[in-house]
Amino acid sequence: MAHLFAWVRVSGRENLTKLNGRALIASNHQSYFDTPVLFIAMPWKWRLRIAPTMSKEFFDARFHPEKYGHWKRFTSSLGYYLGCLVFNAVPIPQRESGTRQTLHYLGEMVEEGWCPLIFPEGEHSADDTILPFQAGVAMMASRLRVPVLPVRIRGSNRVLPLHSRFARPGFVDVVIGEPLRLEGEDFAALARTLEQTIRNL
Amino acid sequence: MTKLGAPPRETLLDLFRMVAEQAGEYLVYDDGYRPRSCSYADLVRAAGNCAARLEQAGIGPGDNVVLWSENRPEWVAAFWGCVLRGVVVTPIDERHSVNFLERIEQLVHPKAVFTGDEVSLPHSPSRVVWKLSEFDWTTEPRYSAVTPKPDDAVQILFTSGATAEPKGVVITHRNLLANTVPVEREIAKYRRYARPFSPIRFLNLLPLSHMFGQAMAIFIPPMLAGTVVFQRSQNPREIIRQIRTRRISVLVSVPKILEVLKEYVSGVAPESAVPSPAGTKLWRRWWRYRRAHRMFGMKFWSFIVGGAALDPNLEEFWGGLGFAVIQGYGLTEAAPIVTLNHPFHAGKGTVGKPIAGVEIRIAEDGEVLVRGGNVTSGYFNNAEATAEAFKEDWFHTGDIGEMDSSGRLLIKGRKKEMIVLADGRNVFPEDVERALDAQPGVRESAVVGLQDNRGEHVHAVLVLDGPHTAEDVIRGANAVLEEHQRVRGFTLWSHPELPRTEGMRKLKRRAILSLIQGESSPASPASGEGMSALLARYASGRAVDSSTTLDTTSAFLLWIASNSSSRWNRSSASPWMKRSSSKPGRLPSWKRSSASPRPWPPGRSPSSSSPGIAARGQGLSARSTSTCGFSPWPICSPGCGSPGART
Repeated sequence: MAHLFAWVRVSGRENLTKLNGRALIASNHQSYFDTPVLFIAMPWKWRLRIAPTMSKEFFDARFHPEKYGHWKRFTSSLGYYLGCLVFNAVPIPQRESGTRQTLHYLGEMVEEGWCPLIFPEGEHSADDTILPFQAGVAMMASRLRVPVLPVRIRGSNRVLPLHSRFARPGFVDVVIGEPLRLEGEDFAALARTLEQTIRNL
Repeated sequence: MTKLGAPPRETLLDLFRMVAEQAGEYLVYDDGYRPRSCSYADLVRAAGNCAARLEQAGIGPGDNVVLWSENRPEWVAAFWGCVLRGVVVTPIDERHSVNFLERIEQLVHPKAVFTGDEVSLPHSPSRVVWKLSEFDWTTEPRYSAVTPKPDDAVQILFTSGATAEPKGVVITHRNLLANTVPVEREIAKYRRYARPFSPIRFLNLLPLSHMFGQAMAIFIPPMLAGTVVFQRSQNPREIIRQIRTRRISVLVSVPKILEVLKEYVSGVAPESAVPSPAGTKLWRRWWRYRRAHRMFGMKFWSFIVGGAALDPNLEEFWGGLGFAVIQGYGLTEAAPIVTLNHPFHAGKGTVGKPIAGVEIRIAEDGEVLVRGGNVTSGYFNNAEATAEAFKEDWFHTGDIGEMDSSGRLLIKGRKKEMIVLADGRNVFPEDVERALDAQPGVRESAVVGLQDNRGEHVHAVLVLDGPHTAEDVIRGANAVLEEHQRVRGFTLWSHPELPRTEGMRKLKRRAILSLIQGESSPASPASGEGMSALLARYASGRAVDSSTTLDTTSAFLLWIASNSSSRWNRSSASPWMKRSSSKPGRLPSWKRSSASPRPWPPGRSPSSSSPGIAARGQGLSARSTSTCGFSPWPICSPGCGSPGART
């Protein structure tokens, strides 16, 4: 259905051949439409193996229902299960504890052939700018020793702006960059390198 | 296939052919972040690529390479790669220091050093370093095979010696096969019964630089087409999670791990701490302790223990729960198995019967003597040590034992004064004494293995001169000693001389030890309540009281305390755990203490000591673990993956 609204133009698909099927996909984040756009941009072989990560805190009512009313619990849980079922989404904590378990879980996923999709900005950028990348993506890539596939998305913020209720059709450009390996312990610097790579795409 | 179920094997290449015939998953390595697995075919390919690389580098038969790495599939691939090229491997424990490696390099002159990711080797222009993580697992290998002879050396295993010359045990193809073929024949009898349970998975927590660790990863599991799992973490929760999620059948470890698991299981399933009445049937016990069995998963059934003596209480605990505890007896010099308990007919408290081809004799003084194809031909370039260990063809093990009526061996003690730590590592007192004697102010020193409820630990007895304090001396000595050799406690000797024999003036370490042990031994720390009792249970060889600082305990202890709140406090039988979690206000008593002298523990004032013993210290209030060199890891090694080591 996303095809109706997002008319995706992809470049750089040839970079996918440089990978053996295991990668961490990192993209800038402009809209809730980014995930479907990325699914459209990828060939079928890859599309079936992408597992977008989502903020666990976004589904707070699902994980900590005691603080919320019934309606909020229901909608949050519905959103969570739909995300998991339709998009293979994985919740990862942004502020809560559990980094180690998350890393281990992602490590198992990578080993099973899944490609986690990460938005390292941690939130939407309302306009075409790219927000500073969080260091977590570099930690994942370095610790799991998996190459990162940088992806730049342009235009999804015009298809579904942040606070709008309905999508408007429009062109979305997706550029897939050359995979890069992030190795080392200085995660902030590695994340900056990745950010710069995506800016240059 | 011969009638006995195992084809003739002359060299390890015959065994490698057997490995190459197997199919399925072979090795899994979980570094705490990402598990990786490889099949038998992958391993054979990687070993071939390693052999090809050795050939390209001009390394061939008779040359030496050092293998210094954590347990990982590439270790096994590198080992086989070297065997295929006829290269002699010198494995080194990852916990050893660079200093030890350099000493080994001077002895064996390796052509290359294979290193793992968890060891850091400083760059040296004269050294060729190959990283195991850069191994090629994909391309088809091309190399020219060599044909070794049965008496060619496969590996040289060095015993640690930070100050003395390390002794290298030379292991040949014949030695290794003399040990594996009888086991293979025995396994062949049961292989068809194992088929419904296959693949049988082994979680191997012993280092591959240890002969028993190698046997349980490289030689024995392929006979069952089994899978071997290595993991970094030694944390009980992680071990149990791994066993459950990977459906592991056998855990191979040192006794220390069994003890840590016992603590954990007793905390989570308190009923397991209460033994069943004698004679209760296995299925009843299984049902009674079903919570513990559920924790480990339904496929797990046995522990194979090696490396150090197993406490009979531990054996009884796990046996009572319905798990099999299989104990054996072995030595590096015997490549490594001498006796082994049969998995289905284990004799409690014994280490089993000698395996086929191994002869055992008990000498007049009770020492166990061994003879057979598996026994090493001698020490590397050390005729003196070889002559000392071999008399009239028999290898003198230095252990005291006896045979029971069913022909099983019981180990009673040790003739040698070597200290065997609970994690299986050996410490030679002379090494530590040499480091202590080199410190200023030490007139005499003796090192003994003091037994407490957590096993043996290194204890120094000192005669000091001048203004130097024992703390300074031990700090200085620990700085030059290997991690496992470090002194954990000390006793000040009030007399100007330590007891020595009349003629040779040799130290009477046994007499010293019995004097120290005769002095009031510390009350079992497990008997108390509260945080200090909790800490004391894990601070092996260290007294914990109000003056104990965080530095002198360890991050691992902190981890236990913090975890007890989330996982362990379900136990109603563990009041100390509950208190630790529910009253964080008690924690300030741990705060770093001032540099004031330690108060004497009750009943242990200098005046109340035995004659000859002036003072005794355990768990010095050192300001920093890194400077004083006290190991911060009583259970895990640094970087083992416990949350203290990584976040």
